[in-house]
Formats: sequence, C-alpha cells, structure tokens
Amino acid sequence: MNVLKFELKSICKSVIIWTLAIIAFLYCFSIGVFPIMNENADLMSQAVASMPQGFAQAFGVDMNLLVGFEGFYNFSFMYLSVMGAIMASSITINVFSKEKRAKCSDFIFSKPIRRQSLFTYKLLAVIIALLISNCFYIIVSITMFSQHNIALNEAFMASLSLLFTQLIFVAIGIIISQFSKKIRSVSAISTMIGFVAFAISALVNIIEIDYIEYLSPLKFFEPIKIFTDGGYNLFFLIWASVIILVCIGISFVSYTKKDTAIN
Amino acid sequence: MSIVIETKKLTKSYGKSRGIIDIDLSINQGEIFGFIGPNGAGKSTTIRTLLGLIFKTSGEAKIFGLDCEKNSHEILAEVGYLPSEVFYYDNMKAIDLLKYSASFYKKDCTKRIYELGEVLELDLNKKIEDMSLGNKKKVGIIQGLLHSPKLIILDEPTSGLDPLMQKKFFELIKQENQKGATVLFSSHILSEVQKICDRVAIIKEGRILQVEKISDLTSSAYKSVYFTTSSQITEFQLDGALNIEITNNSVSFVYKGNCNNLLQQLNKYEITNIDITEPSLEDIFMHYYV
Repeated sequence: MNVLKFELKSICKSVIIWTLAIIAFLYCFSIGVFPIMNENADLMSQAVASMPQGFAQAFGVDMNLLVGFEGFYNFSFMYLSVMGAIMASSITINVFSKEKRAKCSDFIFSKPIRRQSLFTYKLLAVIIALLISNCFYIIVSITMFSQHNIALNEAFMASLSLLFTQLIFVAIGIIISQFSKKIRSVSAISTMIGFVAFAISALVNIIEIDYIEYLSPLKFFEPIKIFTDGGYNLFFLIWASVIILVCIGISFVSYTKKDTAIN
Repeated sequence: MSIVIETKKLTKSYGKSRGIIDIDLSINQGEIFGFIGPNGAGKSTTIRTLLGLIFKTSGEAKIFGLDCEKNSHEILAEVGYLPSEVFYYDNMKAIDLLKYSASFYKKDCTKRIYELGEVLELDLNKKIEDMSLGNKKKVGIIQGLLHSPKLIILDEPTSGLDPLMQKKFFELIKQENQKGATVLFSSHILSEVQKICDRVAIIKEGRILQVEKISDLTSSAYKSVYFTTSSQITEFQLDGALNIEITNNSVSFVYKGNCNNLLQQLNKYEITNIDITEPSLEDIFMHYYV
C-alpha cells in the first residue's frame, strides 16, 4: 500500500491539472462552441464546403453529424481523446519510468517487496487516478448531455469512451516505459504519443481502406457509435482488450524478470 | 556459527561479456567480510546477484539459507544495502525518502532515522538533489541502516565521504556488527578493508582468487624485503617471492615461505643494506593483479 500511496501522491498534481483541462475543454465546447455552430449550421456548411477535399474529414468535421449534440460531442471527442491520451500516457510513463529516470532502480528493487507487487501497485495507482479523473469528467459530460435531452444510459456510455481510450494509452505508456533505454522527458514523449495518435486518426478519416481503423486507438470508442449502433463495436472492444492485455503482459514479464541496469 | 551468505559456482554472464564465474563464498554470521578487487573485477555483479537485482546465469546463491531469487523479498527484509553510486527520486527531501524507505519494513524506524541523521550530521529536511555527493551518500547510509538489518551489504561505501565522516561510518558499521549484524564490505581500497574486516575475498576478472583472514595476511607469514648490494643485480629468483622489483643494485619483494630459504638466498649477495618489515595489504595483493 505504501507504493500505491507514494505513486498516487506523485501524480496527484498532474492528474488534477489534466482533469481540469479536459473538463474545461468539454465545457467550453459544449456551452460556447456548440450553440454557435448549431445556430449557424448553414454558414458552417458553406465554410466546410470551401475547405480542401479531405481537410474537413481529417479534422472530423461532418456537418451532417454536427447539427446534433451527439455528433458535436463525437467531433469534440476527437480532441478530448487526444488530451486524454496525452494525460494517460504521461501519468503512466511518469509512474513506470520513475526509477529509470532517477537512476534509483537499485533503491526500490532492494526493498522487501516482490517486483510483481510493485508493478501491480503502480498500475493500480494509474488506474485509480484515471477512475477518479473520469468520475468528474463523466459527471460534467452527463450534465452537458442532459441539457440536450439525451437518455442517461446513452450519455453515460458515451462519456465512458474517454476512460476506455485512456486505458489503451496506459498500456502503450507501460510498454514504452519498460522498453525505452532512456526517458529524458515524460511530457515530450506523452505529447508525441498524443500527436501521433491524432495524426493516425486524421489519416484514417481520409483513407478509405478496410480495417484501417484498427490502427487508430482514438477511434475504437467513438461516442457516436453509442447513439447510432446502440453500443461500442464488439470487434474494437476485443481488439482494444487484446492490445491492453498484450502490452501489460509483456511489460509485466519484463519488469519481473529483467536485470536491473547499472546506473 | 551459521552461514549468512553462501554461493556455489555462482555465475553471471552478460551475453558474450564476462560477469562473474564460479564464485564460491561462505560468510558466517557476525563476520565483517571484505570483498576486494579492481574496478570491473565483478564485485558489484556478485552483490547485485545476491540482492536479486540481476539474475544469475548458473550456480547457487543463498542468504539466510534462502534462495536469492525465489525468496528475495523475505531476504531483503533483513538486508541493508548501500550501492556504490547513490541516486534517489527527484524533488524529494531526505526525510521523505527515508520515511518511504522505512515504510517497506514492518517496524517503526523513525527514532533510528533521526539518530543516524544526528550521528552523520545530515540535514534531513534538505532536498536530496541539492545535496553534495557526500551528503547523498549519508542518505544512502541511513536508508541502509534504518531498519537495523541482520546483513549489511556495502558496495564501495566510502566514496564521497571525508576522512572524518569515513571514521564515523566505520564506527557505525562496527557498532552494527557488535549488535550482531553480518557485513559484506566491497572496496578497492585495501586499507579500508584492513581496518574493518575479519576475512577478505580477492576477486579478479570475475573469479575469486583467494579467501583469507586479514590476520593471516598481515601476520609474519608475509615479509616485505628490501636490500641493496655492492654490485649491480640483473636477476633475482626465489620461491615464495612476489612482486620482485630490481633497480640497479637494489631489490624489493614480498616473501611468503621458509625464512631459512630466504636467508640462504640473500647470503649469495654482498649486501650493503637490508630491511625486512611487515608488508602492507597493498604489497601482498599486488601480485594478484599483475
């Protein structure tokens, strides 16, 4: 439990800042941007039509969807999920590469605690932090949905998309922490992860190839699917679970079996 | 007397490069055991294998009769370790780090932390990253001793400590030893080992060359011999003579063997001056490293 407390304390500030940023973004988009877009749908359509081909697609602008709050939420989610991805990978890399960055692996591994337990407590700290963060996010998100008379269960499911997406980036963050030889800056790596994920997502929006969406974690849990299909795509759910389990499994084995590097 | 550390043919290889080969060690309870060798000889690799920080390639390693890999967390509850280089988390005060360290042991170590802090004259409320190397080392010493371990493993512990603090450190280790702690002390500074250890293992290129009692090494069995002759000497040979150095008409060497044989050999020369003294450990060990 001491490790869990220690890790939670170390990421507390970062989690609060990210949670506030994500909620602020959602709030501003829902309260500030959506009414303007909704009221000026014709003008927006014209503006979108004048954009280069593929540009609007890449940035998730689909005027057929944007007129309703569900579609607008889906559009916002493309950016919210990038923030969520950066947040999740940032706190994960922070927790899992802490000893490597500070060159103090000898300190923690010479304490009377199994490496399996250390890994588990670190993972638990990240998951608890994300759960707490998402509780606040979901409350605000549901409040936004409720203003547009959207059913609570659908609003709840759509709001959960962020947590599910973040879990994939937790797994990616763990594997990067475990297998990177050196991690100089957590924020640089996590920002890069977020932008690469966004670039893949934008590319997937443009390129029409079967199954290409499986390469874009930001698209696995698009909230719009809750409203159009009544739930998440089962194959994406399985695929995401496989990614999470494989990344965490490989990292776990490596964490418990790998020689501690000499500083 | 029970055995605290026992290794049998302990081997660790890093792919093609050498680590340690067939290390056989047996350290008794209550002993202060020196582990000496030049840099890269395999001292840290042996220690890290014992602590479960790295995994052996073959052989056996046991502490308190328990397997160092399978039972590492049980073993580590009774082990205090001070690594050669001390690194800790960024942005942490010494006291926070020490409390975190203490939280891994099922005992209240608060009193001991402050006691050790006082003895070592360390400001516990200072951030570790703002500390000098010597003070960081003090943090390392406290975190290694705060839980009053039964086995203390020290890997080149005195680097960065000034002579006064080194003296205090040795006193601390002796006190812990008197309370019953076994100590494994790795160093490449022979005088340190001579000062504190009961027995010493000499390691070179990953292999243990010899394990001897310090008292045996420094007893009359070894003699440091220096003599000058009236004529120039080009060659000097004698069974048991080590580190032979010939300079014009003087010869120096370390001798272990029958004194009569030494005198017979010296009798062959027209000696103008002779000096036979107790050798330093450095003199004794030099032949292992050449």
